[in-house]
Amino acid sequence: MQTGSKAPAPAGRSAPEGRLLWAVLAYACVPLGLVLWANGSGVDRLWDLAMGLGVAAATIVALLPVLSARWWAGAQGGSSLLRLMQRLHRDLAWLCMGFVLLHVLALLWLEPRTLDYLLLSAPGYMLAGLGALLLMLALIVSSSARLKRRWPQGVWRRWHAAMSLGVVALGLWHLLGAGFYFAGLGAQAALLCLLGVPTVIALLWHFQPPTVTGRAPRETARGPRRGGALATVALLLAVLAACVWWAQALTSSPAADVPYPCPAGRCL
Amino acid sequence: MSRRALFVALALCALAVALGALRWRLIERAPMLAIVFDHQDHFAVKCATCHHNFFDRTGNDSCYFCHKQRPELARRVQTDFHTLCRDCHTKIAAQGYASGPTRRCGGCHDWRTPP
Ligand code: HEC
Ligand code: HEC
Ligand code: HEC
Ligand code: HEC
Repeated sequence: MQTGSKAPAPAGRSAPEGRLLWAVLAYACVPLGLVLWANGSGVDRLWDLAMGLGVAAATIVALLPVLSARWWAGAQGGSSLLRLMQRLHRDLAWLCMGFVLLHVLALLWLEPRTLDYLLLSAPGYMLAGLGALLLMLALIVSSSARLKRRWPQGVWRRWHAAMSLGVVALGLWHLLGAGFYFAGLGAQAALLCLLGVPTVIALLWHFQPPTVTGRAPRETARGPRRGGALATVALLLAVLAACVWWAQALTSSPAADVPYPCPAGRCL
Repeated sequence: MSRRALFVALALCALAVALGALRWRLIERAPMLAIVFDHQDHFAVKCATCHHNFFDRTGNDSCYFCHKQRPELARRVQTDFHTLCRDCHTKIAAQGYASGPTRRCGGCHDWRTPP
């Protein structure tokens, strides 16, 4: 089995993994693109890009539980599929970490004042973001170490799940708390849709695994991978809905209590 | 094993409480940041939008002085002022009008000038 990130991939990435990677990237770039291009005026593009990277990282985090080797462990002729998923999961985790680090470094570079947000006196939602980053680091380090040290599977898995849940919760707090782009109800709902649908799918699978996980292939009329296909369709639909909803939320006019411009030019 | 786990959990809770208390202290005593603000840019805004103290009789100090002196206000000064200033700018910018800084901190906090 492949270990750690440093182990060279045997002959480059396999074609299916490449395709999946691109699909995930495209999904993660939906919010990034919207933040960049569908936003109103008076916006700083570089700043938006830095923020969009953070949202893209959150989207990848939401997809990671679905794109886990766990569901494919018992698939027929599963070993290659299993490998593919393991590699995809690992590559995406690194990518996500990279996005988050870029998000932080870009903001520090654009605005040194944001250094205040890494101190203990920062608002809670900023500390939550920092906590999520540290948890992600712990997740990646512990998972790479596990492969080398052969830690007991059960213990590792429970910790992995707990820490992942922590990342999701803290990340959500960070996203909603900062409230730059997810201030309106519509935008928040769209965000929850974008991030929540994969999470709900993962939860559903947790309680009722998709057919591919069965140790022995079950005899059903549905065929082995229907669950996956259904999930993909649901996901795509959700993305579409979220895009439409979000675009509307961003372009709709803001609250009417804006005291400017005043009818007579001045409100004094 | 379980006793040790309990001990570790208790220690972590104590640490969290202590850090929380320290955090409030740090926030209450944080130095004020240098603020760029010009009434010239805000003549279109009603005085009452900002100077609530002129009207609700909270007092006649300068805004920052009052908001930094009282501990219960000092804890939320950042949220309060960011909501007041930045959200107004953002709303106006979204309508396509000229407005003040919406995202960039440096527009309001001149970080090169010490407070
Ligand atoms: C956008 C918010 C805003 C609006 C609108 C506004 N002010 Fe102010 N005003 C401030 C702030 C912030 C300060 C303190 C900043 C400073 O001292 O530079 C201040 C300071 C003052 C002071 C000095 C107070 C002191 O004790 O130092 C006076 C007087 C004042 N404003 C009068 C007015 C009047 C009159 C109007 C209406 C025409 C008005 N302001 C509109 C935000 C505002
Ligand atoms: C003498 C004290 C004092 C001065 C001066 C003062 N404030 Fe306040 N301010 C208060 C208090 C007390 C509250 C809390 C009111 C409450 O919780 O209902 C408050 C609340 C606020 C809030 C939050 C409002 C909300 O709805 O939660 C903002 C924003 C604010 N002040 C801005 C200003 C600005 C801008 C100035 C100067 C132009 C100013 N204040 C001057 C005492 C003051
Ligand atoms: C109710 C709306 C409103 C509030 C509240 C408000 N502003 Fe503004 N601000 C404006 C508008 C509108 C402009 C643009 C004026 C123009 O350029 O014609 C502006 C401009 C500015 C500018 C100048 C930007 C430039 O390019 O020169 C600064 C700095 C600024 N605001 C800071 C503040 C601060 C600090 C506060 C809070 C104490 C504040 N504003 C509160 C509406 C508001
Ligand atoms: C529209 C103007 C505006 C913008 C933009 C803005 N701030 Fe502020 N900020 C204020 C005002 C006004 C205060 C209250 C005065 C103070 O406490 O220094 C404040 C307070 C703060 C405080 C608390 C300081 C204290 O006294 O405890 C921090 C920290 C802070 N801002 C950081 C930032 C950061 C980081 C950014 C960029 C992401 C930013 N601000 C953008 C206007 C702004």
